[in-house]
Amino acid sequence: MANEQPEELRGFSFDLDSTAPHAHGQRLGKLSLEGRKGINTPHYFALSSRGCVPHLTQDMAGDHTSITGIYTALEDCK
Amino acid sequence: MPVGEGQSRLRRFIALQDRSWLVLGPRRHPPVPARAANTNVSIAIQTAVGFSTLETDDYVEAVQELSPDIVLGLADYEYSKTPGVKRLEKMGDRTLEWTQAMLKGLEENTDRVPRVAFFAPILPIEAGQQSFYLETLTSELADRIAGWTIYDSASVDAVPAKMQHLPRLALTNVRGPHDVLDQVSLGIDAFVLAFIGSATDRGLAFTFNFPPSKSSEDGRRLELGINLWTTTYATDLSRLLDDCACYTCTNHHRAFVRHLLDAKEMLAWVLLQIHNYHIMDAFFAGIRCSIRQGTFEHDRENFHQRFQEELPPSTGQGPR
Repeated sequence: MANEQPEELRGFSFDLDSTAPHAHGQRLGKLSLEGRKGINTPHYFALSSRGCVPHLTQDMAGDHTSITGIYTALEDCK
Repeated sequence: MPVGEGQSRLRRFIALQDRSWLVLGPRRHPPVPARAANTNVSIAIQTAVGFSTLETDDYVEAVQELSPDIVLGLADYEYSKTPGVKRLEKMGDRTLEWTQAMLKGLEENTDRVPRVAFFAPILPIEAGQQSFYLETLTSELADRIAGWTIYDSASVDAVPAKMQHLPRLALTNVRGPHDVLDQVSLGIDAFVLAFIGSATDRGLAFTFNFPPSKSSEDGRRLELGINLWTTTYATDLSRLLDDCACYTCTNHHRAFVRHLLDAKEMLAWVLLQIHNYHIMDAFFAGIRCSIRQGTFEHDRENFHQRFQEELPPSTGQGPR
């Protein structure tokens, strides 16, 4: 189950909220990882170009958005 | 780039805050259709210096160097190409082989870096066509899969029953907020959304909220956004969106953003991006609240009826 990940995963877990009603497929959850801010789902990972969300510096994104995770592509880094 | 013990070179290179997650996938989203086809040992990618290939070993090595929090496994999936019959047969087998190879490679060096959360792909084909791949994952590799990557919203059905509790990250075609709501309804937990940045680049500011709080005055549907290139905004001193509390709307008005776009100033897109991400943050907070209260399906239907299907067209050029 999600709560029994091996220790090497530094506490990565995804906990589904079983109290929220489950009609159809939508569901509430929380992504957790040691050292990172928890992410309540549904949510997004900001699309980044080589780690940079276009037009935003890291401090701007931190101050003015709730971006708590970014997606970046390896092909951009090659 | 020299880093301390256990630090991620990539995180340090991009100055990512400690509290932020880093998800690494093989290709951009949406990816440029690659010129070559995938082979048995590699996927076709497009790099800054041209089309190339990515093999499992290279990907594993990159993951170990860059230490993302989540890595998306390689899928034998070619964006925007419909696979033929023979291709379909290969997709599951190749993806299984690559998944097994990646997991093995990632296990081999765990004394140096903490293990990464591996998200396995659900291929954008029918469940039956990838059944061998998925059954093998379920029976042999279940404890090493931390989540799913979904490439087509219709294939959420293919997630094996015993592994439905794992998070689903969508790299699907999402054109706007209507698609987000539909995919949340299908059970997607996390999204990578290209339409946000794309709207910002086109000079559009989002004007939607969820659950929708305003009805339209004249029976016409509400706009999802406004085009800040429109010359009638030249003297409009109102916020991009009434009662929006983002930095842009608090400190500036439509006329200023329109002027910045016209003058090709970088600040135009900075202000628009802040506003649009703020709207998206509120949108997702609204989704979570609505699910918690049990009104999501009703609110989703309401949103579909009240808002236009698409963002308005843009009349200007992007940042350059």
